[in-house]
Amino acid sequence: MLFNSITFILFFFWVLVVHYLPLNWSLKKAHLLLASYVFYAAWNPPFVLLLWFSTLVDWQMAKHMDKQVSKRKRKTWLAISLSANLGMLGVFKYADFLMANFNQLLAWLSIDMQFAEPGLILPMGISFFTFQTLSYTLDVYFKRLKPWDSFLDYALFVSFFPQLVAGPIVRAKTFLPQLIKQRTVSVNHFSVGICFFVFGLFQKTVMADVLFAPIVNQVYENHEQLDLLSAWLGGLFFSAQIFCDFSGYSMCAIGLAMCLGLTLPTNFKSPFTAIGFSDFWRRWHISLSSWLRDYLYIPLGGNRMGRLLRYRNLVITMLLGGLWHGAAWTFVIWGALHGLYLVVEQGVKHVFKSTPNLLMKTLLAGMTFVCVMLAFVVFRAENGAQAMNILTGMMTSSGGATVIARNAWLNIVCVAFLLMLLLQWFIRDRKLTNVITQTNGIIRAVILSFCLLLIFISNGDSDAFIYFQF
Amino acid sequence: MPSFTFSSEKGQWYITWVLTLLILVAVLCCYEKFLQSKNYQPSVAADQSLWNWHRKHVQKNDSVIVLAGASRIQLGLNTAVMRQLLPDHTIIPLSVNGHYPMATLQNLADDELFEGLLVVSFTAQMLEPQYWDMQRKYVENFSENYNSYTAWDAKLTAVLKSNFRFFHHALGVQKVIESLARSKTFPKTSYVFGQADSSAEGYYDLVDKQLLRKRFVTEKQQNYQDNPAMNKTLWQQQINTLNSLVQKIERRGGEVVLLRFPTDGGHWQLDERYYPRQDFWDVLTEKYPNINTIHFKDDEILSSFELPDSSHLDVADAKVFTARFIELLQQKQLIPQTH
Repeated sequence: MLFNSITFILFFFWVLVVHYLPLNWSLKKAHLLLASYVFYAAWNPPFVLLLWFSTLVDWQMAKHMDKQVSKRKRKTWLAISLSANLGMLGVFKYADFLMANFNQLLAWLSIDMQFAEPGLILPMGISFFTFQTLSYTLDVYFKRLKPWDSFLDYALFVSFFPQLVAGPIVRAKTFLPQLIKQRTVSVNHFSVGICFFVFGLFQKTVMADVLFAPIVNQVYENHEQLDLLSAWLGGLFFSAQIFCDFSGYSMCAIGLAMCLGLTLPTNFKSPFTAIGFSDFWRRWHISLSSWLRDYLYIPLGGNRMGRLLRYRNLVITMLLGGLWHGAAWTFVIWGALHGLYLVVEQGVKHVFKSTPNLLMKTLLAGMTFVCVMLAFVVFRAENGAQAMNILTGMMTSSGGATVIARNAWLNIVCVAFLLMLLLQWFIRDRKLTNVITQTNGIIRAVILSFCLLLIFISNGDSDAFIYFQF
Repeated sequence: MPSFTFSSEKGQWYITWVLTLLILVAVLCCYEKFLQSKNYQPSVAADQSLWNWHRKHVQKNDSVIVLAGASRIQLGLNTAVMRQLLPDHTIIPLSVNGHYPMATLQNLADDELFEGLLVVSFTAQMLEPQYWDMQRKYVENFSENYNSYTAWDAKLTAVLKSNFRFFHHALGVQKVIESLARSKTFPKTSYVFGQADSSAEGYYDLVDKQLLRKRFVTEKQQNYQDNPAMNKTLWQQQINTLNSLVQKIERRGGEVVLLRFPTDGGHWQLDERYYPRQDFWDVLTEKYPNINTIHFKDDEILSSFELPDSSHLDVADAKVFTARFIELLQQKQLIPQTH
């Protein structure tokens, strides 16, 4: 189900009504779980089985693991959990990619043999929920968490519909305790939740789909001959599009959860104001970057094993982070670029230890944004050639076709882009919840009605959220 | 049970929500009124998900009347009139603007669950092999990607959009702003308004009919010149295939009617030059008298309309045309008489 669909609005209204009926909390949790399965099944009913499989496997593995004293046996149960989850991910997400590359390798070796790609449908949000359940078993393995007593709570943690298909990736130790007792929801809390949902929808349906996506699509469709400005605008606007799309989804998810009295972690904190790449990853898709830090980078040794191994760990983490996004070389290259950025940053920090002044910080922020944007050009590209064409277009001052019409609409999109950046700077060190709560009621109404109005009348070609495919 | 706590912020939030609602309703009402003054009607853009919804509902229903074709049947048969005159029937348009319906006909013939009445907007040209698959992507999308949720959501959205002008598919923010910037005017309304059931209504008073007619005839001439008519042997083969599809539906209790919609003036002359009736239509009806056919030229009322663009009916005429078409179906005993 898409948040930007009428069916979802009706569905959520139903969920809210039942949630606020004077019923037993367990019954309400069971209802939320059922609603979550309906939400997931709406897209493709048989894939609910995968969700159940992942839920059951990790529930059992964590129980078995906890009973074992021997580290070796604990490791065995962990291995089973990892194999089941990553195996599922491998089959559904990476089988085609691996087979295509294997076939390519055979062709290079002049071996006259080709294997058919399985062509399986990618279950929506599989990367999100497998990482979520894995965090549970890993936390139990590392003894950061005791296996939870209630299967109902655990199943709801895995399947909670607001964040099921595109995050934020929730950790068991922050989510499960919230399910022990139903929280009181204040008018303020509920209202802020609705505001989050409206602002999230606005980001998705107006900013991403109506303002930025059409221009980005134009640039990528005509990538072979681009003029300098079109290439740059394509890159800049895709950065804005993916931010608005993904951050919009996270904001909707957080808002919906707030309305139900549950708290989801913040996933974006003004990422385009980052000063440096480490800072960027503390602000962009925070739930994934912290997952990768805690369950991959630190277990690999983190920064405890000397500079070279630290760099190695950074590159491995970012490469796998890139591959997590999708089975394509463009994602691997995107991950590699971010790995490289981080390594260079660490190297520079090692040499220049002084704290940068304001001017320096501004320059660094600008540089960070440009580098992030260049990496996003590769992320969006369907293949290496397309990415190269756009990057070449950005570096070539003469020739190329004017793909984007220079008209009033482009001016509006540019203004919207600048406003988005300014807004990110404005709330850079603030919490959005506080900004919303502290704003005057009338101004809030004006902003909300402006957003809702544009959601209603923008009439764009609304697509599924980009991160659904991951 | 959760309870709403009382705080100093509560009043502020009530102001926020009441004011938001008031501003939203007021602005939307004003915009709706403004669009009405500009002759806009609510309009729905048909898409594959909506088509899927309708396609699903033709199954297991022997009182269903399915309308297959392109724009002529969309504009020519008024579904509201059909529903009014045939309250015991379910009327489902499967027409797609600009796409001949052979793929849909084939798909319905292959669907054992379809046993209703299929009305096909028919011209000889649509049996040309290159036009056979025009609706294939709709059919394949239904077969491979049908999903109850997306189909239901498409229908729900269509129903909502069919009630408000501000949801008009041609009134995107970008289009409005570009029009205002370019010509300092609000975008002019189109003369065709899509309905929630994928049919359409044409209001030709909103458009320069002479200009439209000239454009249609010129384009048709170009189309015929670019795509020469099939030879007689191929025509024979194609109508054999058509007959086999019709028979397939009829064998399980369904019915098929081929309806030749009117064209007039230069358009009809072109039709007759490239696909003369005696060489195509008459050959079909003579060889397969079992196929139910209605040609507008054979009926005084069906052939009496002035076509504003030479090829489609205005909404007012479409209502009369539809009523007459239903009478003809009843005369042919394809549907029961209504009293």
